[in-house]
Amino acid sequence: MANEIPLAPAQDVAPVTPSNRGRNIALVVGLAIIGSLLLVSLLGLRQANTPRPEVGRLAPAFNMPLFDGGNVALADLKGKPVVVNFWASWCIPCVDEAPELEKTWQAYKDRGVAFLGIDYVDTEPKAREFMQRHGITYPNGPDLGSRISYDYRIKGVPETFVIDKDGVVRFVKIGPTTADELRSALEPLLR
Amino acid sequence: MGMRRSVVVGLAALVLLVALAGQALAQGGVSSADIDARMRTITSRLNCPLCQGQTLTECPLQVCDEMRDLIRQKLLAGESEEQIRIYFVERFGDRVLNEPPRTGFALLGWVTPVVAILAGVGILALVLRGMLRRPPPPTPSAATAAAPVPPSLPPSLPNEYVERLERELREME
Repeated sequence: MANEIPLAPAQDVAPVTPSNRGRNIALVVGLAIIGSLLLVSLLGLRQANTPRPEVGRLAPAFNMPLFDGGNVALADLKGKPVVVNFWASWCIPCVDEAPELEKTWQAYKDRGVAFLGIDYVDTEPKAREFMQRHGITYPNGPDLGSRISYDYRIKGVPETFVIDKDGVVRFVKIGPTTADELRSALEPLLR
Repeated sequence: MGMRRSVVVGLAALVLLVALAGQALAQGGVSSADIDARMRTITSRLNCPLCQGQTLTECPLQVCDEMRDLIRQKLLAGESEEQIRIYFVERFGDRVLNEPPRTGFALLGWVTPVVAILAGVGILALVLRGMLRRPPPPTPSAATAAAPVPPSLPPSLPNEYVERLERELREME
């Protein structure tokens, strides 16, 4: 019993045949496809789960063309409080809100406050007509590719964000805002 | 009398010709039926940017009405379907397209199903080929028939071990 018989070396490894090779290639390709799909889904989920810029969060950066020509970037306005308003010519509550915004702009434009109107899913002729009808004079432009409204995760129009001098969101209003609300949001930022 | 009538008919024909030519020129040489047909093609390929799964042809929203007007104006101004498509994508993003673009990241949407189907067919073919080549497993009756035959040692066992095993077995007896 002391002389134990050592086991013979295993020789059951199958030789690589063409069918095995094909199976291995299929396995690698299959795993690569599943891996890529998972990666794409995860990236998509991550993007979709980016939080809304609520009060206290940094306002997402953007750059937009203006109806009156030129471009404006939010970064260019750093050091100033900024009122960002999303609107559309077809939006009925925007009609009530338009004079409130213009009145606030007139009251604060010389106090270092910037206003930006972002026209959401609209046609340019109708947008220009709306601005003219309501006497809007602050800078406005289209939301090209709906990218800004996506980054701000707006729930609809109108929606307004007041951003402080450091680019942090200090006030959010879903639905039409008023001159009183804007004044209350802007005054602390100017002290 | 006959000559006067010919002159009148000739003048009337001339006026009609000028009027038709004027209308054709005003529309850039495009008939309204042609514009309507191109409108239908374009609006059926564009989605309402606000609704899910509704094309510009059928969406009843006011903004879509305005978009249809804009498309008509652009066609009358001589813009091509491709120019209008590019304008809408630039304005409202890729989501306005009824089918994903065949460039960039969205190309995956076209390629992935084809690759997945091909990979599935390939895997199925390999599995089926493997199943067809594998010898059938022994039936129970065949197994019992084979039982009286003493089981042989594994062929992988080298001869020296077999000899040693047999020698030690003999010694034990």
